Amino acid sequence: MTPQQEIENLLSKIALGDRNAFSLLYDRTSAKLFSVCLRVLKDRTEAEEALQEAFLRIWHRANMYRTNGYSPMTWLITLTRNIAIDRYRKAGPKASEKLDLAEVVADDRPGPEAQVVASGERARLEMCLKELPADRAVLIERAYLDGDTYQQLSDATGVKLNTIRTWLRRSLQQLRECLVQ
Amino acid sequence: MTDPENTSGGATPDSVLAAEYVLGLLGPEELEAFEARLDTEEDLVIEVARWADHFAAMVDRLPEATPPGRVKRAIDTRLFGEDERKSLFGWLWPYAVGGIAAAMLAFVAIDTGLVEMPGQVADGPVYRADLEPADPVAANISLSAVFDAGRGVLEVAQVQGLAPDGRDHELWLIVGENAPVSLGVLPDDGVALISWPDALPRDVDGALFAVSEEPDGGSQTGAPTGPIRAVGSITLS
Repeated sequence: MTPQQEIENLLSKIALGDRNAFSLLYDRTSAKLFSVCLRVLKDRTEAEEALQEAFLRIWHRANMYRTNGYSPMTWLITLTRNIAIDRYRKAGPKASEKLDLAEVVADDRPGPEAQVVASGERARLEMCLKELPADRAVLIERAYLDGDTYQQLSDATGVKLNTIRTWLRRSLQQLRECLVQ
Repeated sequence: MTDPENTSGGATPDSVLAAEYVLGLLGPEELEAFEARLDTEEDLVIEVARWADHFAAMVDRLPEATPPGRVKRAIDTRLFGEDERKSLFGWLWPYAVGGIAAAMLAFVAIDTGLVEMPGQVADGPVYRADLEPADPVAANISLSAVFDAGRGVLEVAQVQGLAPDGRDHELWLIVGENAPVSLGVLPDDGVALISWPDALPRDVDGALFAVSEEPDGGSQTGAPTGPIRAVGSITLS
């Protein structure tokens, strides 16, 4: 069984109320999902709360994961990230870490070899991010991994909001073109 | 179709909107409009799932971090009951293998005279069990059970330990590795006389009685849903 099939299997058992499968899923995925919470919230207590909330939702909604066409791990990551970001934003506006775009160089960014689970699909995203200018790729990374908004990116970089938005949209367009090749 | 130099001016392509949606970059109004479209436009749903898949690859860069054990305990408590720390069989296995302990429990039950025989003359075998707290720290509860197999009557005396307000104690029979079978909700105090279900075996030597804490009126699922409060091995009297 591939790891993906294993997680899919566990999710269908959880949908039927199997607590043992729930504990197994927790053992298999909590370290990865906790890393998502920690990165977004940057606070251990908050991250622990978010992870709890994520697993409560996984228990209650395991029957729904197939309906939106996500792979099982993507479903778990997306659900957890959304909870962490909601929590992060509800706590009020925060200044995110300063980002000096002039100092971002391509070599700083991890390549596909740094991946724990390197499927072809995943290697492709890293490759396509590398095709973007480094100071644009980092904006996408901040938006996804840290949950930064356009406003936060603008504040962190000192670049005007509209310019940031234009840059990011253009980069997403380029990323899309690379990904479908 | 879209001039990449002009995305800020003209309409944003759907694929870019979908990416912004996944990233969480849409403002409240854009978000509402986009989610309304997701209800009817299947292509857009697929585009969102595709971006979610692509972006999730970035998570592989993050160093995995094992959460502290209290997180899983808190999740189990919130989902399955107040102080459940182990699964049902996690609680019960020491009893299942503890033959000597079972014999001692039976001895205690007889010796302390807590249990009256349900009739001076029994026609068939009589079984007894003394139910002790599953978690001696959390709950002070004990019950005595006498099953007159000849008459098919089970008598359960609650010696101490009431269910909290709005909750009920439910009695279960566990034979070997079979799933627990409910014998009904126990009254708040005093003695319960339970008519033994015909579907159940009457030879219960070595089986277990367990009491779980359930919502008012008992488990709705046919299986224990709350924490196990008391447990005891059944032995031939």
